Amino acid sequence: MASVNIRSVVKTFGETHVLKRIDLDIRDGEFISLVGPSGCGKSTLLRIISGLEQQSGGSILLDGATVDRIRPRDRDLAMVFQSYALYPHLTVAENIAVPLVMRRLNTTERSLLGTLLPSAKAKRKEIAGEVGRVCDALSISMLKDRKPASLSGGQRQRVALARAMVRKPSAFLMDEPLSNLDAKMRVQARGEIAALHRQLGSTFIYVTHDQAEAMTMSDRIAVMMGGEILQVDTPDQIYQMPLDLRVAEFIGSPKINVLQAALTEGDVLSFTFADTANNRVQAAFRPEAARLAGIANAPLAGVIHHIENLGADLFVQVMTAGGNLVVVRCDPGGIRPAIGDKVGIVMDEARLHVFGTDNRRIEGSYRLEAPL
Amino acid sequence: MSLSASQNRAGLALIAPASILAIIFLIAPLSSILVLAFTDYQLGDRSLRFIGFENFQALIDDPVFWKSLSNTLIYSAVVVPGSMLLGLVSALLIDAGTSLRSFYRTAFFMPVMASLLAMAIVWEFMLHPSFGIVNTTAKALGFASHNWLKDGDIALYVLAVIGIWQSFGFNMVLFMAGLSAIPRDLYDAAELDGTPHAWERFRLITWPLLAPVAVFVAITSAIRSFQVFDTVHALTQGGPNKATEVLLYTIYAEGFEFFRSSHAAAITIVFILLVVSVSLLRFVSLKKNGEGA
Ligand SMILES: Nc1ncnc2c1ncn2[C@@H]1O[C@H](COP(=O)(O)OP(=O)(O)OP(=O)(O)O)[C@@H](O)[C@H]1O
Ligand SMILES: [Mg+2]
Repeated sequence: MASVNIRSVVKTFGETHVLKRIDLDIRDGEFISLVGPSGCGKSTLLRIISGLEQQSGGSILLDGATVDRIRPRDRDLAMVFQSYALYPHLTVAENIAVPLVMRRLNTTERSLLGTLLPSAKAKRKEIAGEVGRVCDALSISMLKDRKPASLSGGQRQRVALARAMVRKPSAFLMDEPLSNLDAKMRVQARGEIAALHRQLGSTFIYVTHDQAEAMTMSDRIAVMMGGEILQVDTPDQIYQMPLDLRVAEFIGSPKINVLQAALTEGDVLSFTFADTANNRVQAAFRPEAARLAGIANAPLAGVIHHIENLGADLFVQVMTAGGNLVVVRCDPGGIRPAIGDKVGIVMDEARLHVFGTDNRRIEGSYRLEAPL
Repeated sequence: MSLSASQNRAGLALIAPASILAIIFLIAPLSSILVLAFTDYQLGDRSLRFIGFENFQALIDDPVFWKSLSNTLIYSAVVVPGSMLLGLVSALLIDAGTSLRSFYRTAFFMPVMASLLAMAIVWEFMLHPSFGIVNTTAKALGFASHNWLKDGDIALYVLAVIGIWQSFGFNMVLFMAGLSAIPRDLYDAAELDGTPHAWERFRLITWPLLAPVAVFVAITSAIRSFQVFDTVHALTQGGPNKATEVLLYTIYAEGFEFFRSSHAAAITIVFILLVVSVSLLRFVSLKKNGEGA
């Protein structure tokens, strides 16, 4: 069990600033995801927490105590690597036993002759028992004597998880552990890791670039971009109250619709650019916060460009007069629009997000400009 | 599956260049050696006679041959572990260091590329009994000086040291290639798994993953050490009193100094058997590894 506090952590590689003053407080037992596009510094932050990478500034606290001068092995963390990093020449059982062998046996007991010592034998027997229990818990007992090369991606991922679990560390660090699995396996593994977290109750820090993984598994999500954390919140808050346009765009699929707009009379959003010069903002709404309507009463209008039928949802892409592609979710049970139709788009005013030109959220309630 | 006639012809045409080269450069010389070993041919003779195993019988009775064979094996027994260990240690050090990597790599590889004959002369100067740097240094440090190349008890080992110096760079490059193929993630995982120090990481990851390279290095080193000739020829000519007589040097002396070609051919056969048996070891170890994986 451990809380993790990241205090003003900075990391530079030569001239490039990979992390720019990261502050993050992770609670004991929490499942937090670090999510962001490729190259935003997620892995670097995780490696700094683990101690594998040294930060250029700031500190890491585990359970309130700074660990900056403590070696990775002594931080009581376990890590699951994207590549799984299984020892290729060892069997599954031997792989899982390594963390225990390294910590419980002394140098003599680990040596070739030392295996004959009664104390080594007793410890190895005890370790084998624990390895067996972990294997049972992850249902990989039948793989114990196989080498990693003969395992499937999903099986390797479980072995890596087992190796991390066996020592009962105070926190788990995971760097995109599912990115080598196919889509179906990933959904299944998502559920398993979340269940594992509930069962173990340890702190999980989970790095991913897949917003769906972050949304489905986490207690809280930290959205990172360009070496900064833009927002830390629950999945619901992140989705419904993005504080930054880049967060809004990164979370949610299909992507949120963003249109250039102008604020008139304080709280009226206009998509027509009569007064372009001042009060420019960016208006955003999710596909499910809009619906198709007749042209007559709609603040936006356009021609249907493409229809994505996902079975449960129909995502209609509309090319507006201004040249923007707007996606609207429709119910496949209703009237089916057709490509080429001229339609209007009506948004739910309560679910409109407005961002300034600096991408920051502008809080308020807005009305849409009455149609022309 | 049966092949059509045209496929057959195409196949033959494709293997023809390789087979012709193999016949000219490999099979023909080897078989003529094999034939020669069972005759009484001497260089310059106009005729020859088959004499069965007489040449081999003569070898068994020849103390020089036995001396030569045992010298070769002793030389290998020193050079193979020596050059492997030095190659491995330098590869590990270079791999762990960050700066000057390519400098060290080039510097240590230099002896491999340099002409050994030219280098032998340098060694001869360094080992010179009265003004060589080795003896002057030994004296300065209070050690006894030796006539390194003329002392029958140590000359072979001096040659072995030169052999190690000459070949460890090659092994180092092979080990470095092997090291670079080991994923860095494994070392990170090992650190989090609690390996206490570098030696334990070496035992857990580096050595097992380097094992196939090590087998390859051992076998190529062994074969190359069997072929030691240049330093012997340049520095000791097999002396003093046959103390540094090695197989290849004996073959050379028999064939080109005493012109007993058939006798030389018989020793060559023994030499080839030695090389082939070591190569077979590699084959066996590869097979074992293949099954283990
Ligand atoms: N050792 C290094 N030397 C120099 N630059 C580095 C080093 N490691 C990472 N970087 C840079 O730091 C930035 C962040 O890298 P990082 O691996 O943390 O990204 P990431 O968010 O994990 O991306 P991905 O989703 O692709 O894994 C990248 O621009 C990368 O090029
Ligand atoms: Mg990464």
